[in-house]
Amino acid sequence: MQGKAQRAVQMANARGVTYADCRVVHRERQYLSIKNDVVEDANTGEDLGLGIRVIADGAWGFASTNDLCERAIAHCVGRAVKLARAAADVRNKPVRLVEEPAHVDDWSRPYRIDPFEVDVGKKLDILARSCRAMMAEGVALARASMVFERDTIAFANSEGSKIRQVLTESGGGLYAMAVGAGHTQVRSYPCTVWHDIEGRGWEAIIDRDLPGNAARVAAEARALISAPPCPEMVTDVIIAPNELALQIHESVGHPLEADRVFGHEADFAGTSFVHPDMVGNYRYGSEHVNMYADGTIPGSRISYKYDDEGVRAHRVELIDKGILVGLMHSRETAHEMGVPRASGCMRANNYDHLPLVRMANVSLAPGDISLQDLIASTDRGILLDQNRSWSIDDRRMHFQFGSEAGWIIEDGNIGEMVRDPIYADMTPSFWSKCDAVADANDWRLVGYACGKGTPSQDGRVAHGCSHARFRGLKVGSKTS
Amino acid sequence: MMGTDRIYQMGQRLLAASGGYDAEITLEWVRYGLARFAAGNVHQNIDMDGLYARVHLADDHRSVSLRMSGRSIEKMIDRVTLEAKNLSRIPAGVARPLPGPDAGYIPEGCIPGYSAALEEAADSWRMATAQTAVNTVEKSGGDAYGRAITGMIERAVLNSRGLFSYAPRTFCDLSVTAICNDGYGVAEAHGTSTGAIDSRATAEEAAERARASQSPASLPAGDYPVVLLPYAVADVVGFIGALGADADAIREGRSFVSGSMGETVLPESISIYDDGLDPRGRPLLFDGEGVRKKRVDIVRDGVAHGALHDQTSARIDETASTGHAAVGQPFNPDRGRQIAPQNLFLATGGASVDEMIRATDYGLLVTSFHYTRPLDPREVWMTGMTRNGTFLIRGGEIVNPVKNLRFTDSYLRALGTVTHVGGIAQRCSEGPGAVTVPAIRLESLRFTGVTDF
Repeated sequence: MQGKAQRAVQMANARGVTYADCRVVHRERQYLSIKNDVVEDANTGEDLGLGIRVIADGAWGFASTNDLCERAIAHCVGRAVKLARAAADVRNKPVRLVEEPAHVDDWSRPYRIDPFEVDVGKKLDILARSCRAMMAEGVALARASMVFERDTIAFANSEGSKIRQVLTESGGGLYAMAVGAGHTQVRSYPCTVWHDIEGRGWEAIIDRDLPGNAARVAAEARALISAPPCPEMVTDVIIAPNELALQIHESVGHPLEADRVFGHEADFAGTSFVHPDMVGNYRYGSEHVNMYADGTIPGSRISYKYDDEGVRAHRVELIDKGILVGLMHSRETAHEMGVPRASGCMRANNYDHLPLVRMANVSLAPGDISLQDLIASTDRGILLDQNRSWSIDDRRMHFQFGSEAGWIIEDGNIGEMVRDPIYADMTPSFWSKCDAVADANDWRLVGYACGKGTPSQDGRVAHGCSHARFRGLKVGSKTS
Repeated sequence: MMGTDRIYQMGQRLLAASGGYDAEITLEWVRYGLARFAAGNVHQNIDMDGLYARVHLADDHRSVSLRMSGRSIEKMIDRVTLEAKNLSRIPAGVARPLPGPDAGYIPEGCIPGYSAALEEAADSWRMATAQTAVNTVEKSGGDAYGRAITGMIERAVLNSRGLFSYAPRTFCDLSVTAICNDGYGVAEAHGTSTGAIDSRATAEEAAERARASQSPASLPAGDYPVVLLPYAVADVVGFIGALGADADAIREGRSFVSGSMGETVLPESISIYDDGLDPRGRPLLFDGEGVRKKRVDIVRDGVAHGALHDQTSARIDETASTGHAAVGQPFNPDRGRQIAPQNLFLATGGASVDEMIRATDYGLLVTSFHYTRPLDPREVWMTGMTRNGTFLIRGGEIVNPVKNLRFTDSYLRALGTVTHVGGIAQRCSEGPGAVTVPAIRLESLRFTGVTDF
């Protein structure tokens, strides 16, 4: 693989490009799903291919192929160069990149138990037991699923980098839907829809004990059918990590991706309310809000040593005590904004996709209060758990999020469960209401997927956070 | 292009490796090109091609699936042989029944949704189109953002019961977002050949909308009559089709037609159907299992009428597949079995947009919705934002642009207040999930929030 990546770069150099990088990616994948006690998917996959990106005449070109013979690679390189030269006709300024040292390295994300070596029958047995436990609680839909992926990536560029990385990840979860009284209710574990994928091996599945959580998940979905709707009120809200992670993703991660700031996604996902001149002076949230991006966090599905343009991963401060201090940059956007170094967060979905600026573990730093004290110090409020719906405007300002369940807090105690809770606010207003973040004992990563780009890329993302409290937030239910 | 014979032979070799099990082979050869532009620059110029294979193996009680790309046919055969050995390790359950040869589809003569001339013109068309969009919007004082896309997908499904379905299809798409100071506008055009797209007119439409939406005023949240342009209607119809018409969802009580089949669920003026063969949308002649697409009237004259089936749901409900097993996306991982509409239509009425505006004393004209998400599938409860041009109507005339608003409402309830259905349908949205709809006027849509632009 490494030889093919280097060969493609050599071919591009021979065609007179000013820059070239190439990724050869081999992906193994397994997806298992049981719905209502029937195996609905036992799906494996293997992809192998090459994507080459070049700058010629000051413009980008990208081509990919999954035919890896010498002639096909040469053809692919030729197409990338031709596309770059054609794109130069519709550019008002040439592409420039910030410096990055050449890296020669071989790195594998660590794991204890190889998930691809675990017997498929054992995996399906865990899922079947979980599914049956949910069904015993009388839900209409019970699904238990697992997903495992391993990417082996060979990267080379025209500046001398030669990098091999092996990235393994594992995820799995439960989903129960109850139907009654004219509505549906959902509970999931450990995270809605996306399997809470971790950058670990089979041990990630053992640790989450799916069968042991199945009955609770389904019973809560059933109980929500007869629970009262969340009352409309302005109150203090404690948001659990599995919900807050998506809030961070939508209202901090995306607005601080420099490609959105520069309008590259304006025709699809949208732009950002953040402008480059806001960095260093804009109050994004309260003094309790400290955010950073860091592709090196162990155990994350976004844990890597180098991104897909060969930039070494490192921590980038984004919000310091509520003040916006940085954006996430590619080598191109860093140059455009005068930032000396790229953020190490350019990633592509696979060999056949162009790398995009992708938030790398954008996380809320832990505070210094325990979760127990956080709840106990809340006179009246609501605890929100697990996301059910999310929507935000195209500049990432006005949002509305819905949770699977809420629990009313009175005098520091968790009380009645309520259904269909939603909350809405504007991004800086919301983060300014944050008055406490639970400590590091409560901090955890949540692994998501995120659609971005054209053609849409199902990118890997993860966010770290603890429970956090927001004072005076408007909540209600969908009908209020 | 691989061509019918070559793709058939490759499929047969993979079938032969299936160890005597029931087997289904899907082969897709894909070429996809994109020129994406922002503020006068083409910042992404892309050409992707590849061959993708999916293999499904089953006995009477269990099944496994395998997706492969980038491997030689010999290595793919080895992998299929290995997977066949793994099949016995899958717990017994319900296997997906394979369709027989009569369910397949090989077009003869003119192929709906395919233009042989597209591939040759694709590269130059994308760049010329991007240039036209950039120049046109700049002339009107704005900046152009958008994408010009061309693609060709050759797809075949073969199975061990003798089914062989094959068809190539082509597509080209243009989306232009114009930004003129604080005004935003969008326009799209879609076709199967480059000749179907007028890039200048599309860019002019986006630019005009952006000019008109500058300096928007604030409007409080509340319940308003709305005129929805086709881009917004596509979202309404798309979600009603996706959440409500799936036979599994109906059987499991998750759909708005669960328990209401044959009953009136919407006004008589509303008919929603899926027709994979209709060239006004994006034809998809057969589904992910190779079954020829059948037209399904999901709602006919306001009455819940039909469900979308794949082979599995058809067996459970003791009926025939309608050809709605979702077709996987070549560039993204398989998401497992799904039933999905893929060429949806809202039947046209006779009204014009001008008539809808004149019929509105105080309300809104909405160009498109953004980031819409379901809150509850049962009554299609949704939330989302307006985008790319929202305008206040007063006294039957558009009076000024307004800042974007959030709605939170049941699409079913809102569509129940329809007063006008437009006479001209427009194809909206890229990808296999095409939705072709006219503008409509609703007496009521509940807006629950506002943003500051």
